[in-house]
Amino acid sequence: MKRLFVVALLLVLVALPAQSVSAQIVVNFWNNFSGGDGEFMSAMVQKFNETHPDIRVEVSGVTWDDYYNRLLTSIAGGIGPDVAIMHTTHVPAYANQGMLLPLDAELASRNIPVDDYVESAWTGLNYQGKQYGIPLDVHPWVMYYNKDILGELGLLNSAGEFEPPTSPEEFRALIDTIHAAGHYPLSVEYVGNSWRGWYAFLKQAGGDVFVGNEVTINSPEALETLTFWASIPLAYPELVIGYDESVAIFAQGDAALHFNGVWITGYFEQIDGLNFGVVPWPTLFDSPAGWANSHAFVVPVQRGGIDKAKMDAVLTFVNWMTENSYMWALAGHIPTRQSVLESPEFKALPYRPDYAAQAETVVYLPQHPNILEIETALNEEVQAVTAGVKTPEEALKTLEQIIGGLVR
Amino acid sequence: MKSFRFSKRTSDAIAGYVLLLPFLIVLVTVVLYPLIQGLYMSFHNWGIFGDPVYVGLDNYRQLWTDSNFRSSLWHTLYFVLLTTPPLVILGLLLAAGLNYPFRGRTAVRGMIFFPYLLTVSIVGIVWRWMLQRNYGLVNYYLGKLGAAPVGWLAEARTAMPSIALATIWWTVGFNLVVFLAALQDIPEELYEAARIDGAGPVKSFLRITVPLVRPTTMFVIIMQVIASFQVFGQVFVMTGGGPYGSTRTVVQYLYEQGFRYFRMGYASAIAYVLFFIMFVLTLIQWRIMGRRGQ
Repeated sequence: MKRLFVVALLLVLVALPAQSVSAQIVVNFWNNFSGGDGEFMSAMVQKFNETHPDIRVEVSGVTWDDYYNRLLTSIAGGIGPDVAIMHTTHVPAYANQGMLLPLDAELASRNIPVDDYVESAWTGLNYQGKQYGIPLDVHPWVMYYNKDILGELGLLNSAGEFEPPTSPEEFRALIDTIHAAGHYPLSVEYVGNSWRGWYAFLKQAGGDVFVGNEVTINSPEALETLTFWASIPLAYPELVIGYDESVAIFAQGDAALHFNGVWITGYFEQIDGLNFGVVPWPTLFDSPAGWANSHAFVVPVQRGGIDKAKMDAVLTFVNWMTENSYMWALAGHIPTRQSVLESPEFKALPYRPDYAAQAETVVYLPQHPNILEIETALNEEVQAVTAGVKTPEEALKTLEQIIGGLVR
Repeated sequence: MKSFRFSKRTSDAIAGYVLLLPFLIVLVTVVLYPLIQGLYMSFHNWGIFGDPVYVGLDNYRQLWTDSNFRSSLWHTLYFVLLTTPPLVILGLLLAAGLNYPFRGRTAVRGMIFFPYLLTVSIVGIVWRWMLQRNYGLVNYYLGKLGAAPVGWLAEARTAMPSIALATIWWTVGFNLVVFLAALQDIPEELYEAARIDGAGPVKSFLRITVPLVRPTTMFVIIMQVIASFQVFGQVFVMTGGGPYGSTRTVVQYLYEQGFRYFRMGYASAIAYVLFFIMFVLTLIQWRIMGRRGQ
């Protein structure tokens, strides 16, 4: 009898603390941020956990290369995370396969400040009339410049800043001038995603890859802009390098100009002696446009569904993260909340306000479940043109054929 | 009650199966089941969620006319041709050279084998940096010799050979070890007899060593071809299949079709075609090498 009493007492004692812990909701959060990005993200999550004792967000960071494999496999197995980061370009394919939860009803019932989000970032996640994600950041391609080199050549204005060219001829003249003066004019990953640069100019000139299921890529605008884009690497073949090298050349202070995404700002900031500036993607054709992609919070479909309490926790977490995305801006990204973009702390940051205005005019690739395959085709054809292996006409013809097969 | 006992033979057999059981379980679940499931999938349009749709041989028909598949096959074949002869010949030559006693022999053997211990990502990243146009070590030393810098991984002409070079550096150590073991089986007396007859090292090598390591050479060539046809890691890390898709291999194409574009059925068909090609090649090699000079 005594033994039974002791056992019962022990059980109660064990159960008591377990009760208070089980009131805390655990949210599994997957993201693909590593290095500098990873540190900033971890710091944000930690701050959230400290200020929200009833929710515990557990982060799983997977390296960039492996991330989508792991995410895909886990969702296919029904054991995906509660919330995950996904690129906006990937959302249509995943939504199309039924892997993501539409959030419209959930958002409506919880007073999420939808209007505070930058419109293009928000609507980029609306696929076939349903909202599949909440944007965390916008990361466009921008133009970095070396103040020392440009200053030496007298190309900075009285405020010590660079005013980018406003026409393709001006841009080409700029490159020629810098090259003639013996400097490395422009470092871009021509052996890589340089198609993003061309895509921006295509949109600036009013062109498109496809509209609905009509392929419009073989157009005069496309030919004009692609010919321009390729003219520089064709004139200076030594500029044809890959991503790592393009970053290294600029970081070493050897390149005058550098095209890359805003994610590299944090890295350049840490380099002693690199005197650089950033400007939004130059508008060389009719109207402003720059390539961008976004990171978004998505909710994968899980076996057994997701209950209301968990969804509350997830949306509280996501809302807090975007509200406090000033911390994420420290990594170089552009927040998607207007309130953050207009805040004094954000405006006081170096470099970032310079390109944040671009958030309004960025262009994403059109939405399509096959967009990743289209992106690969764009990538390879543009690489072939910048390497001098194909003419722009040939490339556009090939693209018309490939993309036609994918959107019809 | 009569006591129930197995015969010695049966109880031995049961013991054998019990001991094999863990391995058999792994073999069935991780190898056999996916093999059969993969074949089944190749006859369907198979996405991630949703019901697979039976399409018979459509995936295979589509592969037949798929120019991207064909080009990835050529790229892979090119890689196999670039790497197999050097890896086999160099492996044997190095083994022969490192069979002679000399001071520091063990250290040299270790140095040649060491790269084999590195993971594919490390090998890929290191070589990618060494082959850079402006900051790469290779161009740096070429510059010292007066040559102009080359964009090794930036041009189709030089990309696959560069990947082949990295691969040879990475894996020749394995063939070295295999050949070294084979050389130990050759009796020393044969070489002595040849020396007495006045044969130099080259003749000894060609007349004694090469014929006697024949079974090992066959094995190495077949294994090399099978492994090379499945190349993926170092190519993906060094060039991502570029520039402009010129180094995309069959396995990378398979991976993209299945894991990026969610065409699991098509990817399975690619896998089976690859398997079939390697099977046929192996049979051919077996026949050629088995028939010659017994």
